[in-house]
Amino acid sequence: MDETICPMPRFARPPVVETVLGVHFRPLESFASAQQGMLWERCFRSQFPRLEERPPVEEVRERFGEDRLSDAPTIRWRVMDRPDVPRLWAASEDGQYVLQIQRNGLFLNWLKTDMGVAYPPYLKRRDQFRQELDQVDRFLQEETIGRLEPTSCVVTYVNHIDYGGLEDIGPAVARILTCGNNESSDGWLPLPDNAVLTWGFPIPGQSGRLNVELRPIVRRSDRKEMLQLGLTARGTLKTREVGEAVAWIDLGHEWVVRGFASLTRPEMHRLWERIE
Amino acid sequence: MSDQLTITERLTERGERPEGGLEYTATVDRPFGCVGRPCDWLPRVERQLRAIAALAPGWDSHGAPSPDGRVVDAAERLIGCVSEVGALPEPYVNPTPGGGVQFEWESGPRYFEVEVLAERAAQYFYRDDALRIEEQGEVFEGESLGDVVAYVSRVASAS
Repeated sequence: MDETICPMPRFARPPVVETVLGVHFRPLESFASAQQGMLWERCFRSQFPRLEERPPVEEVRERFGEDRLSDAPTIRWRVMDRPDVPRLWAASEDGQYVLQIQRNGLFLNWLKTDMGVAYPPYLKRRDQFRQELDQVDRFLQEETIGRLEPTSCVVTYVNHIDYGGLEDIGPAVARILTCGNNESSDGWLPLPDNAVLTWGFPIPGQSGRLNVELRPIVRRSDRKEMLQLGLTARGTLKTREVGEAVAWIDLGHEWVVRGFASLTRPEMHRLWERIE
Repeated sequence: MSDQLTITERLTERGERPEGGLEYTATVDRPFGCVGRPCDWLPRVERQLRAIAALAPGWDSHGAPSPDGRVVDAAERLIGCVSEVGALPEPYVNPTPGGGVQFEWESGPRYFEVEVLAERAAQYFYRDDALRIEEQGEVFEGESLGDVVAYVSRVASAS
């Protein structure tokens, strides 16, 4: 990794179709469905009027060293057999933005709802998310529910990349990615007709990990076969401060963007009109 | 990638995927993230916890109160959750003078304890004498026990 690389890569036509900025925090005992509904009504209803309920999302902690070997699926300490408090899934009228609220987390999604939708700058989305974190924190204090104590952060970017379909997946991966060469040692194997690839890249100082997943998907809108390249940076926080969480999201964003540029070939960058 | 968090999932269909299950293989190594069978020591630990719950005031000869039944129940749920990971060593179980319950694991230079202090709060401490490391933290009801499991696994790997 060359840390002197700068500035941040930018593309005029990036293949990104969705982004998520999120923070997990200490579970709030009294932040049940009723309080979440009050929060939505008071702070978010006008901007995110379309409401659904979903099961809560588990917090994932990145582990390093020998702890990676003992990395068990998330097991929570549950004292009582009470049902999970659902996650509120509140969408903007045009469906471009979704705010997700649960007992221990807040997430902001942006979705490219059609080809003409402009990709909003990261700083705009980050500042909006910071405002929403502050609104939640104020609400929690006003209702004497508690304080936001962030424990980990997540930054996810989902990209859809046009390719030739499953019959071409091996050569396509080699054309698109720097770390997929579609070679065999003796040429005995035929070309693959499927591939699901994952990578994990540790962020220095054990401050997190960039997780990358490539898989073929079919876009529902036009039944087109695409490669979905998802990049998720996750990190655990040390100070439980909202400010540190926002700073980590900046770091996670940097790893997602630089990681995307580093993982994809210059020929693809030209297709996506790389500016810097 | 965290599929539950993204909306894109609604707009796409999965392509063909390789078979995920390998139930027909005989490989016994646990892959990352595999949940094993619950630990067979759990019934013994639960009996110890019931005995702790029945302790009379002054059980330590220094006027300690009887353990709080709610705390003992919480400790039972905590160790029950930890045991679900499987392939973890049996803990030593002790009442604490403050009315809590402590679980301890020790092997070679590594030691780990988690003390359930209240119905929804526990604190933990890890020490590695070989590496001269000491770490501590806390966990609350509703939170992941991943750190606790990781420390117990560290102790187990020292044996």
